[in-house]
Amino acid sequence: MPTIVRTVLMPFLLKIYLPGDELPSFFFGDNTLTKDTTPDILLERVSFSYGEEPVFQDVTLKIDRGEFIGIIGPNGGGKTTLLRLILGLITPDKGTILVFGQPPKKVAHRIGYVPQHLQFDSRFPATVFDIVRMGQVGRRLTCSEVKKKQIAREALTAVDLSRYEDRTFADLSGGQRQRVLIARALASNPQMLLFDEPTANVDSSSGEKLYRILAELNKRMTILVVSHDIGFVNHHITSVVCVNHGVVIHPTSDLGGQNIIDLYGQDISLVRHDHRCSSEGHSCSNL
Amino acid sequence: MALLAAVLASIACGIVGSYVTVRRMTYIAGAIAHCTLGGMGVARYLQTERGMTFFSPLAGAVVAALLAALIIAWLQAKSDMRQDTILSAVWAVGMAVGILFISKTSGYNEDLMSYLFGDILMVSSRDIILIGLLDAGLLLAAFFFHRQLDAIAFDEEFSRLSGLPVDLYNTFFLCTVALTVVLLVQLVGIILVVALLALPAATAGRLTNRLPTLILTAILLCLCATVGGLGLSYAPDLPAGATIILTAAGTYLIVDTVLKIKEKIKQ
Repeated sequence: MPTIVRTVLMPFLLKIYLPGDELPSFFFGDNTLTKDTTPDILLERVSFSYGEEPVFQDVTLKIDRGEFIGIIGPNGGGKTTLLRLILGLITPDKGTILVFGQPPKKVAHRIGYVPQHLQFDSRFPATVFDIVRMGQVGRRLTCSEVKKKQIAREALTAVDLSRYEDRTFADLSGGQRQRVLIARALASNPQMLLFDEPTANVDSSSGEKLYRILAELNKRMTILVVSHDIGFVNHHITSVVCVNHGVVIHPTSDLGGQNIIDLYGQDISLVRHDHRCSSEGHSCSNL
Repeated sequence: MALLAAVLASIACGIVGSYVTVRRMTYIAGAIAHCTLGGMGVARYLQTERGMTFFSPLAGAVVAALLAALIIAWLQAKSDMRQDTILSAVWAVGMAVGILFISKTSGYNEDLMSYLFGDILMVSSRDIILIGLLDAGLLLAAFFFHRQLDAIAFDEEFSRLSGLPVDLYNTFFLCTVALTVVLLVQLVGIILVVALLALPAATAGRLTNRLPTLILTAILLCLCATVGGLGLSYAPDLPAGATIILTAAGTYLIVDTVLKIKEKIKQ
């Protein structure tokens, strides 16, 4: 019996807070939390500044198990800061952050993180399998070496790169390398995936393929994707967190029309910045 | 004796050189190497002028190397100096301190300058024992920690997130480099340490695609360079250190040329 901790997928509720103010100023949350499900991520009245520059003031945000969130916003608005707060790389000046109900630093090893830029030596001697196995180092996995290898292979299958196991990492294309990094994040059996701009360096058809993989993974873990496009996000994303020195959540709605597909080369969803939703929330499929 | 020293040194060079080359820290190794002269100069001064006879040049070199490593690490983390500025400064200051103290020391000190180029043929049994101990330590460390070291070498931030105490590993790594450099300086001299750390590993990098095999190949190539260099230098009575380095460089060129020819044939 594998001793890896597996989280039970609990039925999720799409909770959307009423924004108390317009962007980009203060944001107060509606505290009608139901205590039966611990949210995956909980920020409560978080403030953070880089020195004198305030990035967030009094931000409250809740993300539940199983959501597929797009984090969007202009550059400099705080998206990367939000990620770093969730990962525990930085701590807030005020307020609390809880990930899986605990301080971020304690649980960072349960989050699979795929960075946007990877600065690595272009001649770094490692095969694809070596890189994926790196995702298992230091992560407090208590299974055997054989089992770890099996999980690593499964991670490679999930990103459709099984045949590349023994290839040198440096020889792969940009899109393939990105998928290897995803496999690396998956190899530790994380409970949540955090992506920083997964499709920035890949062409649109590879990007859509990537999102299909993510949608498949979303069936067993929460996924957060940072995107620098503020108007449109991939259609698999169900809810959007808009970060611009404050945090607001919007739903997405399907945008039909061949025009848009022709323009962007893929199916996308329009972010409804004008939308205000009810406190009970709603399902995006019947907008 | 020299042969044994060559073998033991190759093991150290292969292991440490591989990691240093892959992490692009060969210049740091160079800066540390030059600082050992500073340490040795201060030690000789303290011995002769201040009567602290226990402070052997080797001890001085070790202290200087560790100090240099820690200063470099601290400056990199805390100051906003460019890395190459830090290294050039440490490099030059270390040497200058050494020269200063040597000039103020009475008596014959020219033997310290021989550390610039080293003399593998004059290696003492104490040096052999020390290198043997170092090798044992390196082999154990590489065996038990190679996964962590690989992960940190590839992506430090991700390793941090995975829960590895990255700073601890990096400090340990830097100190290991410092100790290896000190011992290698005894053999091939300051100026040639960097080449011996870099060249066999670079050649190995052309031939392998995984870090464990790279380390083993580097050890082998280092062995070829040291033993081959020694052999080549014997008859025409050439300086051993320089011959070793030229052998290592020559090996790289041969491997590179052969690989390029293979590429052309494929096309």
